[in-house]
Amino acid sequence: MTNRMIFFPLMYLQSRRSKFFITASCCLFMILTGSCVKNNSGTNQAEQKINSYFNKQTNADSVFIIPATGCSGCINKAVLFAQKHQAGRNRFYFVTNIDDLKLLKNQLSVEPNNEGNFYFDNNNVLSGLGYKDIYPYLYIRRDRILLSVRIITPDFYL
Amino acid sequence: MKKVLSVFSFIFSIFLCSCQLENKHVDTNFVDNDLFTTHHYSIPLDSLTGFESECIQYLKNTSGEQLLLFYKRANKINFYDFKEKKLIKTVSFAKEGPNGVGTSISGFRWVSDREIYLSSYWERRIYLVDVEGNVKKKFDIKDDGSLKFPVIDPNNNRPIIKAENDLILAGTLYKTLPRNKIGKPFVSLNLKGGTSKLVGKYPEKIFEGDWDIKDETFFDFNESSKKFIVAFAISDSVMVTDLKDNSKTEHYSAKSSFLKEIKPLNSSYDYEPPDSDEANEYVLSGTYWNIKYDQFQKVYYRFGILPRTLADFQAAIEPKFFISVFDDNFKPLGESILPEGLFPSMATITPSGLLIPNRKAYDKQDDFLSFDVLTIKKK
Repeated sequence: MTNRMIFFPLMYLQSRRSKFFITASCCLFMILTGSCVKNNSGTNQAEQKINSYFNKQTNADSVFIIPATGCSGCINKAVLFAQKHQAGRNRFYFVTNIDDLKLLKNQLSVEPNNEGNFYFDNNNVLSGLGYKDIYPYLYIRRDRILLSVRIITPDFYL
Repeated sequence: MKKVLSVFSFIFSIFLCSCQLENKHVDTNFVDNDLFTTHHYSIPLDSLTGFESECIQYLKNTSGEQLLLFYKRANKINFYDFKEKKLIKTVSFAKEGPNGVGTSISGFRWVSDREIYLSSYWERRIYLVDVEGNVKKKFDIKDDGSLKFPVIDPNNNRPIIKAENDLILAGTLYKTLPRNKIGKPFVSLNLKGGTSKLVGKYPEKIFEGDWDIKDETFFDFNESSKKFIVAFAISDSVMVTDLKDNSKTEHYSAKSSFLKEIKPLNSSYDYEPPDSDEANEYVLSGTYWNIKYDQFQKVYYRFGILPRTLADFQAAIEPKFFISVFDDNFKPLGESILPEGLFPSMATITPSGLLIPNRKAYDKQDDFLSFDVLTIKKK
């Protein structure tokens, strides 16, 4: 990054039109904040219901729903992430649509210390709460409040 | 007011009674059934082998009786000594490289240790391999791009059959196709010339509209008569045919009392999605499933999926299956609802009886694959 690129905005702020620039920046910031708020309230009822159910299981900020069957590339992406990042208190993996728990546990290779970060939904509880998808999802939360829900596809950055 | 209340109470009590009757009907206890006696059989599974095998073959040769199970995820066939219930060997197939067979093998047919055929779904290719996993030859199934070929997908419900110099394969129908676009349900691959052609015929019903998920073709082979027994998910009747001359195909009614007439989801081919009630009703109304010929007991078994409630479907409760039994001339001998957990897609005929894997038993003890073995009661 060149000095010109760094200093040009600062110089601009000091110019006579800086008031206008600051006002415009504030507006932009408010619009961005507003869009985030819209995203929060944009989660649907089923997602809120699922989040309430997650609250009984975990306080983690990142809750992954991983279906055992569905979009294989998407599931592989989520499973690989879960394999690598088993530890930590702020991630929780909710595995559902399980066709074979034995094979799934083999695939995930969950270490005994990290078992608390995984939940295996053998009774398909999530389906009853409205999750009927072939894609893994990431529930982004803060203090157990759902902020947004993202679909994990093979090109999703994790 | 009292009269109105009494009428409502009366209707309500009739409703309750009907519900109870229906439940009683569904919960028929299989073990006490007049039709079968049941015993159990199980084989050990290693730590990397799960419940579902996509294709199973029972065989009897000079080495004795064997049960061969193919596992798609692992690209391997496990060979079991049927009597000893022991794993004899595992043959694994490479996914890539000179002996690679890809990742979408759906079915196999063992002819000898030097001649095993594998069918690759995505590549539309047949691999001839040996018991060491070496690829000896490849056959590409070339259609002419007309979509008249079925989607070739052999499995336990539509095995690969070797008849003289031909391999017979089947799969699922391309969906929502009008009459002029639909070909024939079987592909006959000539192993000498490598050419393939379409054989057999669909039931007329297939042309009535869009069958969506009920597009399955099932068949089994009667070794003694050298005839194929063909059943379709949508059709009450079954066909007995040599696949060569359609005019000689025999049609038999194999209807079950558990299913109403199966109607298409949409009678036109306009690709318009149906409304959700219509789609739900279609999915929940049940369907016919695989057919097996038991050469030891001289009977046919036809399986089907029972209708479900919307609540069960939404709660992802597994559907229940039923079984209908017919004699050699398709005279019905009886039918019964299978207990929860039995998985007819892996049903296998053996001299000991009809083997149906028990999912519930596996869920309790996943280092064994347990089967309920059904034999017809002598009358």
